[in-house]
Amino acid sequence: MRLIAFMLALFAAGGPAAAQSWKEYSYPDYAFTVSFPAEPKIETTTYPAADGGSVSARVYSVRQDTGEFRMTVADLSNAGLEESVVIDNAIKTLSQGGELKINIPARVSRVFGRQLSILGADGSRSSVALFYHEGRLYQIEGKSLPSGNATADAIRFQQSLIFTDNSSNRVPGERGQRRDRAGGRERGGAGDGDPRH
Amino acid sequence: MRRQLVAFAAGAAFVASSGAALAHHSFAMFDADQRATLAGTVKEFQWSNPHAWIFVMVPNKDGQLDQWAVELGGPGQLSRQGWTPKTLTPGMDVKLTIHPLRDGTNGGQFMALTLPDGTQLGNPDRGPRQGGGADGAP
Repeated sequence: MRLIAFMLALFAAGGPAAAQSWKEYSYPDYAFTVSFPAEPKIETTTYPAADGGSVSARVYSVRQDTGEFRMTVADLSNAGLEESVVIDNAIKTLSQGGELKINIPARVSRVFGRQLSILGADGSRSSVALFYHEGRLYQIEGKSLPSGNATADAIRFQQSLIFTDNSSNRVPGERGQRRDRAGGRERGGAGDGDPRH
Repeated sequence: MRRQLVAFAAGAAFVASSGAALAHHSFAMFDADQRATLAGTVKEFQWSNPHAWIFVMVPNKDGQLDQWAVELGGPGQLSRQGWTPKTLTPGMDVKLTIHPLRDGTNGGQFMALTLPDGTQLGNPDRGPRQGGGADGAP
């Protein structure tokens, strides 16, 4: 009986999108891989930089009935902006009109950044990570739309990012200095290397 | 003697650095000071890089089913601990212990799991080995 109820719930929660499966996509030109629930649409667009200018950006996205999955790579190599300025601007832009529920240090391999949870004004929930690496802003955002229940998929998407260039946006001494300024390690955090320290 | 010391130092450095290399990312989004238990039915077990995921349907207080996402280690790490891609199959009733997400949404980091036959995987008291997961200093 319970199994029947489970299968019915699966069917109700599924729909056409559920028939597709998650797959890892690799973008060596931009040194990352990420998993999407379907073939992503790839667009070249512009990204509003912190200094008021705009820079070129690539957006990889999938939109479904329940959620949106978007990876943005903005080329800030010629913008001459500090990492903390880039990251703070991205946080401000992403959380505009919504509520920033979580804003904590993040790390993928040896690349350090920030991780956010945002409650949108429309009731959506976003799981976001931001990294400034090799002159690029990497912004990965999984959004559960108000009409859907895709929080699990949003988290899965955001956590799937891998940098493939095997490099770091920190040098060992810099990590230590940042940790010292932050007053020691944050338990459960990516404390050292935090771009906002 | 000096050669032995150099070899020992090199080995120690490798071991120290490999801890950080094991963990793909930080686990700061999960609250390591909190623990939650979930009793539900497996919807999907995704044996994937960089981390495996369990998607489980859990009844909420209104009797509706909510989907929870539980993040595990990578397939290599899980294999060494005895897991296989078939350890969990859809429809299987399980009990999970997790470190919940800090933002209160339906997700967590895997600590332990009890299979229908009572077999326990992981350790609900100690949680997963994170391999330098959070602090990230190589």
